[in-house]
Amino acid sequence: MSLQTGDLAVGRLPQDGVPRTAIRAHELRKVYGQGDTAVAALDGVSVDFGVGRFTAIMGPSGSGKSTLMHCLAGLDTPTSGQVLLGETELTQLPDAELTRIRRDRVGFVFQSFNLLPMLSARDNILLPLELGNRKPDQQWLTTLVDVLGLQDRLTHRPSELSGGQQQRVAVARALVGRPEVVFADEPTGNLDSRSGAEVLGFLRRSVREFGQTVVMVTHDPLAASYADRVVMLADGELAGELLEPTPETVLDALRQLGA
Amino acid sequence: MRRSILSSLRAHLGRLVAACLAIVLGVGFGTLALTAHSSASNGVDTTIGAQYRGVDAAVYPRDTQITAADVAKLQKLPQAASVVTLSTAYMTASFPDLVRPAGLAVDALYDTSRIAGPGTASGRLPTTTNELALPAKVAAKHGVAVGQTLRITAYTGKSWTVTVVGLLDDRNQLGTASAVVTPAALKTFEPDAFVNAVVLAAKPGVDQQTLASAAQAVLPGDLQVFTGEGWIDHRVKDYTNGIDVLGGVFGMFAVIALFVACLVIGNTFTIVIAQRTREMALLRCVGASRKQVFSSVLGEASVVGAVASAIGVVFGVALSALVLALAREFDWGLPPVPLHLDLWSVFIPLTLGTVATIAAAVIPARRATRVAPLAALRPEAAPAAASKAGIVRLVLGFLLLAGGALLLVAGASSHRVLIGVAGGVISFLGVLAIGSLLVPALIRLLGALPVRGGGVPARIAVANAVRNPKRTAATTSALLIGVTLISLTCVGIGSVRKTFDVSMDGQYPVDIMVAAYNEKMPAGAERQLRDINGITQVVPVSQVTVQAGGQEVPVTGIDQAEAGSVIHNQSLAAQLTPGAALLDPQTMNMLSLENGSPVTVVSGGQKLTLTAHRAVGLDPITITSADLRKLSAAAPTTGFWLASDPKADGSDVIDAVEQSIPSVKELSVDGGLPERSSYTEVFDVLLIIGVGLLGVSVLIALVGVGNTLSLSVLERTRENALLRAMGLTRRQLRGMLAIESLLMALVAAGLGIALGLIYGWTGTSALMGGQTVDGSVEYAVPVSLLLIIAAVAAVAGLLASVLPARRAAKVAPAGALATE
Repeated sequence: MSLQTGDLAVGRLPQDGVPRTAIRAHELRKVYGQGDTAVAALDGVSVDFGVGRFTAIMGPSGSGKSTLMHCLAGLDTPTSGQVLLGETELTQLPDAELTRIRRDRVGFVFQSFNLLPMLSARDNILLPLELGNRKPDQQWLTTLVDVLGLQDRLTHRPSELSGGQQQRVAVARALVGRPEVVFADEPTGNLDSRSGAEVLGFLRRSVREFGQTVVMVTHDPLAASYADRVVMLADGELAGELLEPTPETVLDALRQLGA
Repeated sequence: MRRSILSSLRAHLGRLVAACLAIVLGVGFGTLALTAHSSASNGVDTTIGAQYRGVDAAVYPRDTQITAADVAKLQKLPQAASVVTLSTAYMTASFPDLVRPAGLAVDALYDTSRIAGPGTASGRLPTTTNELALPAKVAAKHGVAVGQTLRITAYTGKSWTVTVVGLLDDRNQLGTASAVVTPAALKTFEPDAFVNAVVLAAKPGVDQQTLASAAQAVLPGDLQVFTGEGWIDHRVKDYTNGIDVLGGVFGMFAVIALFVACLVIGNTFTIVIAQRTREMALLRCVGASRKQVFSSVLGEASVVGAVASAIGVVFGVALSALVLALAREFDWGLPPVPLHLDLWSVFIPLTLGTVATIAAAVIPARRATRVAPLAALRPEAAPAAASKAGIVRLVLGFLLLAGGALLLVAGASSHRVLIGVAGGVISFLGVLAIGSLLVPALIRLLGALPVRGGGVPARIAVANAVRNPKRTAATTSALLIGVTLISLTCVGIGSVRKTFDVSMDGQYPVDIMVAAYNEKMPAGAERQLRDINGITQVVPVSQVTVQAGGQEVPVTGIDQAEAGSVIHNQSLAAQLTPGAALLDPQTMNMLSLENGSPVTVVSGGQKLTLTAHRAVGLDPITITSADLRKLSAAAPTTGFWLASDPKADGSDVIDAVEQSIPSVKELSVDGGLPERSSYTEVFDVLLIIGVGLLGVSVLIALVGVGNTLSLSVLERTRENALLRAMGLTRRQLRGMLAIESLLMALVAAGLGIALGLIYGWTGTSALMGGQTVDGSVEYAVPVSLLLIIAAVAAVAGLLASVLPARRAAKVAPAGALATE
């Protein structure tokens, strides 16, 4: 299936061919607890995420990958350091500003519990737009629903959808507002391998065809191989990166981290 | 299991605090009712006991009088050490602050060596016939000091000047005390003063029963002789009947409060257990039997119930002490009563509170036993699934509703209060039973408004409010009970009052009728009356005595054009035309007249034949002043008919009218206003007491609304975190909870007001239908009161959401999403 989406992605693609930065972390530190019990989940992480790129963040449990994503997405506030979303410095913003940025400029796909149980699939997809009193772009919405195969499911409640369908609704919701960055936190963690592959395929297509920027946290090498680039994290610090990863190269890199 | 109960109580104490608050309020209120009642009864016992200390036997006239011969016989009794005759003369006294004399009861002093008598607060008791001691409160009211003189007048018209030599200590007196004079003085004032009773003290070694029997033996059979204790009991009963009724009403309100508390507690336990499904399942996994799970929940409930009830009792006793202290401090016209605690007033609320809590927890505890052990192993604790109302319960609810409604109609149309009450209770139970269907439907209906205007948060709020119909219904039910009862009270009292007003207008068409006896009104009288605050219209009337049908009858003339401005009943005023005479029913009967028959009146040489019309509430014969002039050309003004401002305080207006026109010796003040203001006050007091007492149950219910919300917030932590991640601001989140709470409060208020109107109207019909002359009843809609109720419910609903909303808004989106 090929899509006529060039004009939809205008402004997202690096027009001069030089990769631009969608979001940048500078010397991020996040410390939990105080005194003797203090634990640094992030210990001075600096990393850039390019516009129109699909980046995976990997690392063993406790490496700080979820914390990094939460700080990047304005869900959590780092102890020190900066996060730049486009031109906006996030770390000093008050809660109301952060909320507005989450609503209007980023999208989310979580591992589970993505949808509100009392709203229909359609209402769940439109939730961020409606919270911001924005009108949905009907053409874009139709495109998304078609691509994700949700035409017949729009009036269903989450409890009437399969796990894969729920995750596809979540992807539609993340993409519908055309955010600067979509964050995905273990989006396939609760899915069987086929549904997982579908969801990852959609995320990659959104990058390739719509120029979307995607940052995904995962511990699954296969999932990471859908990305353009893999950023490795260990003990709260950067531990290398891979370009054009394959499951094998990712596994190798992870083994080296463990060694 | 005990360790598990205690540790789980510790862990979940926060969630149970609000339930505890509901119990504390309910039990505290019950304790207050019981303690106030026992203190008041005890106070009456003590006061009356002190008043009749030393009395071993008492002779009390029932239908007959105690004659001097009876007293003489009693005085000869060998068993009696002291025989005291209690007699009272009813005089008038010219107090310095009043323009005309006021009534004063005067007792004679007696031998107080054996039997308690009045004591002085200042000055001394009278010793000569021209001395008198006044009760301290009467003296304070009229500004009389020791040493001043008073002119007192007997009903015969004879009067004396006496010096006030002392003030009597009447602090503990129930009602108004009498003044005292020497026995000789009383004899002069009123030679055959009424003997209230004869009280006797026994000689040493003679018991009360012996003395009473000896007294009965010498007296005629129709004089009743009490023993001293029996006499005190008899006197106490006269006073405590009222207190017992009041205690019963208080008790009823306390039971309502406790019932509402039960709903709140039951709901709280249901939610807490739903949230602890995994914990229960784990207990079952490690080998706890169903029975053990059941008793662990009940065990938890009993600890919570007992502790909260104990706090409630302490709170209630403290409140009673405070109320009694305030009553003493601010002199509310009640005799000062010390706090009296008996075992019952502590034990009953304590037991009831604990038992009610346990009873309320039985259903949630049964639900806890149904948790499958496997639930512990599921990855996510199944959030309390939206419960579907049981079909049986709904059918039963509709049956109750229909049956109750039929009884209600039957009670209203046959004027049987008990049937009406039964119908009300049964239909209300029906409403509560179908609440899980009715309340969500109403919330959706009402929710359509904010959904249209308020965007997503409002839509989610409505969806959240109807998500768990049973929980929502239980929460609103608690509030519904209070609002229904308060609206019922307002509507019922309003309707009864309106019915009274209409029937009063029929019986007393004129607000105030002022008349002078045997003298004419001075020139400035009309001006003086007009200047009184609250008087809106003054019309002079003239009265002359005429001959009619061989009888002497007073005839009153009033200007035809002005009569309508003081007579409420316009059709009555319209009947007053030249040639017509309005006769009251007694005069009609006396002269053997029919409606429309001619009546001839003669005055001096003048003779006039008029058409008789029946009129209730005017003078014996009322005619136009033009006709009166034909009988007596120069009849002077002898009185006035007044109209008053319905908003003015009736008793103040009457006091002012009574104190006006000082040059007139005897002024009679009559009409509808004195009657109306006396019952208006009663209704106002009833309304304030009723609404105040029911307010407690509303307060408890609101605690319940806040409780349900905060538990729901706990349950929806992840949902709210997701919404926050999606871009819902803290403010929108708080607004969302406020809308949810507001919807529940408004639906409870709306439904409660509607039910209150129905119950209030049918109740008035049942209560008053048989009482009015023509059986018609007026139905009031106290719009402003009902709007206030709705507004208070709305504001309270918003307030109830504040704490849960703050807690919900505090949750960081990342933290809540990470809990996996």
